[in-house]
Amino acid sequence: MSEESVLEILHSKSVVILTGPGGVGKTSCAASIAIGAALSGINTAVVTIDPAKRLANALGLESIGNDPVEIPMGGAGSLSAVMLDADATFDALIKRYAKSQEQVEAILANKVYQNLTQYLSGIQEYMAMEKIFELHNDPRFDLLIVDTPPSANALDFLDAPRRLVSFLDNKVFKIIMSPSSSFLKPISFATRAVLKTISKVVGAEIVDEAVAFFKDFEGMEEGFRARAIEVGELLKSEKTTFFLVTSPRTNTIVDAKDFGEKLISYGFSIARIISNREVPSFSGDDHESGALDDLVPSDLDVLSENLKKIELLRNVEQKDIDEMAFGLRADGLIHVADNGAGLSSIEDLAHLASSIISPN
Amino acid sequence: MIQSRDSSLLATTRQQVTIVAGKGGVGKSTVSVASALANARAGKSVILLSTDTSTIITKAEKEVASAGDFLSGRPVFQLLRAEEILIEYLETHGLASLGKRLISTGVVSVIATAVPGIRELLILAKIKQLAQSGEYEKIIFDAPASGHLMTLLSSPVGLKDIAKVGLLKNQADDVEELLNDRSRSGLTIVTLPEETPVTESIETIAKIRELKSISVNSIVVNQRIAAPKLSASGVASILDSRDASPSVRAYEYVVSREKIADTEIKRLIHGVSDVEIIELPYLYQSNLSIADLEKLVAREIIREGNLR
Repeated sequence: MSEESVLEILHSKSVVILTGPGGVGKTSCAASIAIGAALSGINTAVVTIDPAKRLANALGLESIGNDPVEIPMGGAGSLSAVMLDADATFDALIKRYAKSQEQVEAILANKVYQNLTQYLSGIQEYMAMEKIFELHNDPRFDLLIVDTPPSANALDFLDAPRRLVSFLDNKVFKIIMSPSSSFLKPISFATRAVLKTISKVVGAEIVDEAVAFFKDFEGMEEGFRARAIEVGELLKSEKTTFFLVTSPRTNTIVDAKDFGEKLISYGFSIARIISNREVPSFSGDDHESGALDDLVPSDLDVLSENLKKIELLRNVEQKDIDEMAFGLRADGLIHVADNGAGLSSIEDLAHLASSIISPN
Repeated sequence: MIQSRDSSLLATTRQQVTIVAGKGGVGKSTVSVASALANARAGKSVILLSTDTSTIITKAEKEVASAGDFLSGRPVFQLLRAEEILIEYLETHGLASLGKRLISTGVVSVIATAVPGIRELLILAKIKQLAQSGEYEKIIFDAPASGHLMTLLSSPVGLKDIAKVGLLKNQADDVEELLNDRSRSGLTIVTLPEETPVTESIETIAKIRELKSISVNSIVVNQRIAAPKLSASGVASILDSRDASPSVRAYEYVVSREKIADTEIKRLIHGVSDVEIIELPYLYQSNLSIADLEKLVAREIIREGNLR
């Protein structure tokens, strides 16, 4: 397989999405790749979700929100950061598709709508994609690096547009809204019975609120459906690629492999696998200064025992990650060694960037 | 209250019902399984509940099934799914035909959005029912990692605000009573001795305490790395030298990680009060076997670090 370098990928693509299981360092990787891209002359925006405080500080971010904030880098390209605010993004969509100001107000006040971004699974992901689409069309940016929200599985992300559309298409509530159609009457009776029973279980207010939501939303589904299709097309196009981030721990690899397989089965391309925070290799140059000569034998044993344990662990990790990368037939596997100290400054991120962008 | 630094995993499950919470990747399921095994070892009848099949739970389930009699109380594993609980619930209330239809028509998903926490409440109601049945001495719930812990814990109160009457309200009352009773239920938070997980744990505990619902029992600091012990003169001569041999660099790497762990555990202790902190050793294993978990169970963490 002809291999493009990471830098070539960053120059040729418009959207790079980092995906993978929780707790593997996706946010750090996204931030550092964005820094690397900006330094190499690409006008880059990193879309992130709830970055850890220190990472935000490292990026010099205090007040980061739904609109891009430029981070002065002094590089050839610009770097901006956006932190996803799903509520604000959804509100903006409502304003775009609503037919009237009244419709906007009714929807924003509806309890079902207010809970939607928090509690309908996949909505956070959908809004992230919506934001990507918006930023993609923003002439200020050539490249978007996207840090995906932690989710139990990759499908949450990929399935999000379809889920929202099918949620909005709910037949039961649609029928309730159009009782005039005589053709639908028989179903309507059964449906009403269902809703009556639900009222008994959860209370009538809730059912009323749900019905009101669908009424308020009427006419807007088309806009959402069309948008969902457009977003889906961008993700599947040549302009977009995925980096699968994992840690080399066995359980995480199992989850990451699952993510990867789902991505592939949906027709997405995985340009790189990033194996983050690997146990480093300590073999190689053996510059002994003679210090070991002074050690008592028991200390020497302790040292060699420790090295053995670590090398054993590293071997298992390497074997597991290689197998996974081979299984997914990904174009390239990037090894990122654990620095043993965490990431606390922009220099740390730049260092991480160089180990991702120009490995070895 | 005491902040014990060395304690057994049994301390994570003082009450009959324990909810184990934590972010993805911290080893929440591992700790849940280890706690279940610890209780089984102590002769308790245990059920481990989860909403998702994780690798470690699946493995534990298999190994326990084929383990013969090595455990006096063998843990039972059960998967909880809100939809199934709903069907079961409606069936027992004479509404059998309704349940499946509610799910297939997507009404449940609309209602679950209109009523945040309904799924969570159903799961807690099931746990409450198991607790009342008295079938198990210990019930451990491996709470979903990417789910909404706050939604889970506030679901009884939140739902009572919305559903003023009906079957749901009765459930909410019962669940609330269980969560509020610190003699019957408690929460264990699993974290790693690293910056982000520790920060999140401190924030989570503050939020949970604001709810004035379930009590936070313990924090399990998983994968606490400890550098091997060298003689004082050995440490000195390594620090003095610029030796770059593999064994020295490997030692320095572990020491560096240990330092971070120390700092983060100190920060955790500083950030939360009245919680027992239990440290589990880092086992230098990528893939924990049940035998490894048994090590965690048997060996209360012996700290070898230099934190005093």
